[in-house]
Amino acid sequence: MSLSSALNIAQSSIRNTARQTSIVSRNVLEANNPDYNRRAAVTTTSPGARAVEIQRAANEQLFRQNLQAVSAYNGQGALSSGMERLNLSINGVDNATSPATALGRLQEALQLYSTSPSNRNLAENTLDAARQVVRTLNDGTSALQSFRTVADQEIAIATGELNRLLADLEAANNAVVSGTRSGRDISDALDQRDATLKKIAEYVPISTYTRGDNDMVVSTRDGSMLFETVPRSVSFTPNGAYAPGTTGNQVYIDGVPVSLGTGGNTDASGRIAGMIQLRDGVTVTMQAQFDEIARGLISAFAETSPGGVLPDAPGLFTWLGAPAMPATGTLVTGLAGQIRLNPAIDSAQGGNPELLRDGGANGAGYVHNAGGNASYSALLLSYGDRIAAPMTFDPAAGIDNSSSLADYSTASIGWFDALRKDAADGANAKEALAVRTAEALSNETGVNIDMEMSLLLDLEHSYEASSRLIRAVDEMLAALLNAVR
Amino acid sequence: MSLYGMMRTGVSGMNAQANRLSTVADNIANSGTTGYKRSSTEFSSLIIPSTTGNYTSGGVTTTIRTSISQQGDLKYTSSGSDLAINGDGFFVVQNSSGTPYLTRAGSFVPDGEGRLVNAAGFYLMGYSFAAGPPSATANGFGGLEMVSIAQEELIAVPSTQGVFTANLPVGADVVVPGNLPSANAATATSTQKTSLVVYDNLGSEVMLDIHYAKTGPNTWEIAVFDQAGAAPGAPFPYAPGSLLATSTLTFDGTTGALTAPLAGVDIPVPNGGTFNLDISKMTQLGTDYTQLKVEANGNAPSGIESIEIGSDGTMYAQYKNGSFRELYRIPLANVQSPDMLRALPGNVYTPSADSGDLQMGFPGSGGLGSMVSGALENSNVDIAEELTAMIESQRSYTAKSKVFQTGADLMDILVNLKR
Amino acid sequence: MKASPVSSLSISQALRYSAMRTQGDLVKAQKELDTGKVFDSGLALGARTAHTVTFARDFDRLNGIVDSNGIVAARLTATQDALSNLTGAAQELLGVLTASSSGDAAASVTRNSGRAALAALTSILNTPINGEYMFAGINTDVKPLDSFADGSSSKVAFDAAFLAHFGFSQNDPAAANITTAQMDAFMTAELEPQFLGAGWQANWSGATDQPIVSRIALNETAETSVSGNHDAIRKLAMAAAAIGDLFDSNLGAAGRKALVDKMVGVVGEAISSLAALQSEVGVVEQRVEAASERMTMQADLFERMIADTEGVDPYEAASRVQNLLSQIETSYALTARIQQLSLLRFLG
Repeated sequence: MSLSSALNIAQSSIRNTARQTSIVSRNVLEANNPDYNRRAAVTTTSPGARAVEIQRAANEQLFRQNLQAVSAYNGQGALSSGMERLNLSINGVDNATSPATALGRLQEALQLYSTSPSNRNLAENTLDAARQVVRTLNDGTSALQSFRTVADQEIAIATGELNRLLADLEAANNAVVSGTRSGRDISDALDQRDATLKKIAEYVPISTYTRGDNDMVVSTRDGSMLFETVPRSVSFTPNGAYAPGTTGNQVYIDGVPVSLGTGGNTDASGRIAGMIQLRDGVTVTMQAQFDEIARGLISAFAETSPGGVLPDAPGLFTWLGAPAMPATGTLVTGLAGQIRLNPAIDSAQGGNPELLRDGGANGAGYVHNAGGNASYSALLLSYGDRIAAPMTFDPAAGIDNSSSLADYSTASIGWFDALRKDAADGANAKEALAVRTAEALSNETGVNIDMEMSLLLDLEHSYEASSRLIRAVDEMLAALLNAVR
Repeated sequence: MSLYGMMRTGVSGMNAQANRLSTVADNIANSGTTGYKRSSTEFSSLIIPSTTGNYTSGGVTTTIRTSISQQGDLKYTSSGSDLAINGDGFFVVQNSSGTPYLTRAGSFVPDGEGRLVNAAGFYLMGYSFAAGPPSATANGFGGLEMVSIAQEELIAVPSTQGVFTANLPVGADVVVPGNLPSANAATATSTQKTSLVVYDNLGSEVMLDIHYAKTGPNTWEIAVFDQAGAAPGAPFPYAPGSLLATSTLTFDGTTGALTAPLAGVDIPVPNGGTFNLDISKMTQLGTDYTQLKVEANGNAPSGIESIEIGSDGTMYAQYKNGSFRELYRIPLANVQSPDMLRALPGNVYTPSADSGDLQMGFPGSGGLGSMVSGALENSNVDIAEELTAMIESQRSYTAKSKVFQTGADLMDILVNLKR
Repeated sequence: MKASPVSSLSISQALRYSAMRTQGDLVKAQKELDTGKVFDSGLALGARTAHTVTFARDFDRLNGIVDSNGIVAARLTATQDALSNLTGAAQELLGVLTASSSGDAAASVTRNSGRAALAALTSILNTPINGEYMFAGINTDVKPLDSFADGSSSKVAFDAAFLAHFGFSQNDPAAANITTAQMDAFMTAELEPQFLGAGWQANWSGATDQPIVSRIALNETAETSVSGNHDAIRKLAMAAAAIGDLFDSNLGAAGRKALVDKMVGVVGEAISSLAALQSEVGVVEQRVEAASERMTMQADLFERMIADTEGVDPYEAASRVQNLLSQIETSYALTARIQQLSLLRFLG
């Protein structure tokens, strides 16, 4: 060993310390970046004490767990927030605009009218309540369908975003692979790839597999390939507009359709599956229930002919298929959008409201109060009875199939709120899990500024020692040079 | 004995110290030269035969030694083409007229033609991978060529082999024969579908759609399609001719391991070679579809992005798509007695009669050192040592001049005897 | 390499997340304290929301029926009053008729009392309540009883019946010779069908037999009016009309005697029939009252159930708000202290 090599080693120590300090300062800089994994500059003994190998803190297990939690939360969150929006736009605050509430009002108005059937004001009042029922059903239908249209557009945006993220992933993955092959520091590329994966996990649940050279293969949890060397295409064609009965287009990932989730605490994972569940599951069932309520209304208020001579015909509430009645116990898709007040009865359309009391909206053959007696209440009372009498509903609409119209309409709210509660509870739980796993991951891989600061103290010491060494060697050489005269 | 003899002895001593000071001057001047090896002087006495009672002073002869085998410290740099040898051995370089030399000065940079040239203007030599992995010629410079990174711009490698390992769910529904993927009907369904990128002869990407469909309790069908023929959205039906290969997988009902075909599935890649997909590790167990291994070789054409040199002297070209290819292998040369090599300007050495025969080998093998990329070898001069040598020389020179002066004084006295 | 047990990011995020959640909870608790109801009943109850919606609707419906029962009860009370007035008029008539049959009253007194009774009857039956003629059955927009005056259909029919039976009108001098037997035959063959048979609907009454039917409870309907076609009213009308008209004619003493004798019985029947009717109406009144009472209780029950399912105990809500506030304060204090807890402060 010689003074020169002592100088050399001290120099390389200073260089290492500088490099380590730059890592520390980078760690501190990125302390609040959730996608940043802490780097450690580890000195390795190679000839001449080369420095510094950069190691990146990582925890594959926690990362995967976090990805899974993120997917589950995003699927659940999309469902839950969608159901909140649906609740407000369709049922309103405290169910104020729900068909059940409107139906209750109609029942009350009908009751009052039946007590004083001669009172034309009460007839108008009843008609008004009926108009309200029609409006909730019509508005509900258009709100449901526009909700589906919006969900469809959101799916289109999400698939576009997913394709973009997959392209990002390709760039990040290429950087990782080439960096690994050439032995460069790939920490930044890994950070970027992990961050992209987290974002992808928001849209679809993913599982990853790392092959040689850190090359990553990403597939969805059910096995559709998302990324292998190159991104696979995620294709989706949005529908321009939705009407009841319109079937939404599938989202294809590498040619395999994404399946929709089921249940309030949904098994849908990732935002896309959650939105498909809203578009093709929740809203479709809700529309079916609205259609069944509309069908129940038409049949409860159907006009009969005295003695059963003529077939029943739509009375206060009518539809496009009038004068036929919708088939018993069978769902008519889109009926809630078609239901109207009978123009023969609706005073706003030039009809006679007292036909409700007397019968005969469909012609003389249906008149019950032949004498035109002003206080004839039998028909009105029978309408009231029929609202409360059990009838058969199509099980396709997802509710117990034999109950009264009044109960069915509240059961619809019950069905929806049960789903909404499950969705909200699930979202809470899954959010907590996502937050918790992110926290655990951050604890495992993130930066603690205090620790970096104490490391910095070490580095300062080492730097000071090295520079002291250099000064000593310098003094020794100076002494030698003084000796040369 | 003679006064003249004594004076000449003093002069020879002064000459010897002058030589020594010259080496010190050289050493100090080159203390920062990469790959420089310090020179030193060794003295030996020259004795003239003398009789009893009569001493005839002789002289001192100087031999110059160069400490070639003493390694200098490694200094790390940020250039990947800077090379250092950690251990024994020399780079083989040649000058512009084609004469080969040995050197430890590895500060190579590409010149205008892509050849790696060091500060003294010598070109690095290596064995090319053009005709397969090279082997070193044992004792000569045969087969060596100048290392150049300008060539081999675009390279494509067609895929020939791949591995696909996954678990197929045992509980999956059986697909009726008419709907099997191989039937390619519009109603065809597969139990699982995945895809894999392979490369044809020209290096174009070909996406293979791989469908698995359960046909019976322990049998599955694998059908491989060219994804270019897929219907938009749902893959089925593919355009005619898109079915590349189909095979029946049979699993052991007890262990769930694949029993046939263990040789893999041969897939004729469109415009490419036969791609053998190894599926021998596939299983059929009672869990979900899980992909465990998806690999295929081959790469698309792309230009060289950078050059990497491994510790075994292999020089890789790294292409823009991230793939690697060996271009050259850089050998190290050594001789029996490196210190006896003849030093020439530019820190190069050439074998001399005393140094022994030239031996070629690859870094890290046969007693040769390893190659360190991104580092340079400092000169092995220690300033302190040189300075002390200088002081010592100076004193020694003064002493010798005193001897000469004494001789001259005595001569004066002698001459003055005759008046 | 394992970094550190806790990262700076997760410290600050955990604090932020918990503060965020607590603040969200505070908003909910505050609202619950203000309204006394759970923040979002749908979220709190899930499927049970259907019950509260049903309860609320039934509660409204019950209250609606209770309200409409008020109208019904008013109608019944009015009917009851009218019936007792009718009884009073009938009793007066009976008194005069009894005096008349014993020959104590002058013919003019008898005639006037008959006319007065008929006038009272007509006015009571034709009095509208709330724009409805309550004795008109369901034909409530038509006066149930035509007035018995010259030219009215009832008078014309009455005269025609007399003429048809005897071959002369009651004002004909020949009427003085009508015997008791002849008069009895007339009353059985002509007078009774005129009032108690089809003639009543044709000439006298605009009312329907059918009374008004009202829903007085969720599943209970009741006849809540009395039709002017009731026998008691018909009989009273018959007696009053016959007395008022024939005592003003040339009817002889025998005929008058027979008439009075018969009508004493008829009015007696009418009075007892009215009493029965009154008690029937009383029963309905009681049913309505009982139904209202029952439904009020039911409504109270529903209200309580709604309060039970979606109500919030105000004390509990208040203490929850208090808790959350102190929790947030603690969290702020902790955040401040943890943020101060940094090595940087100790590195000069």
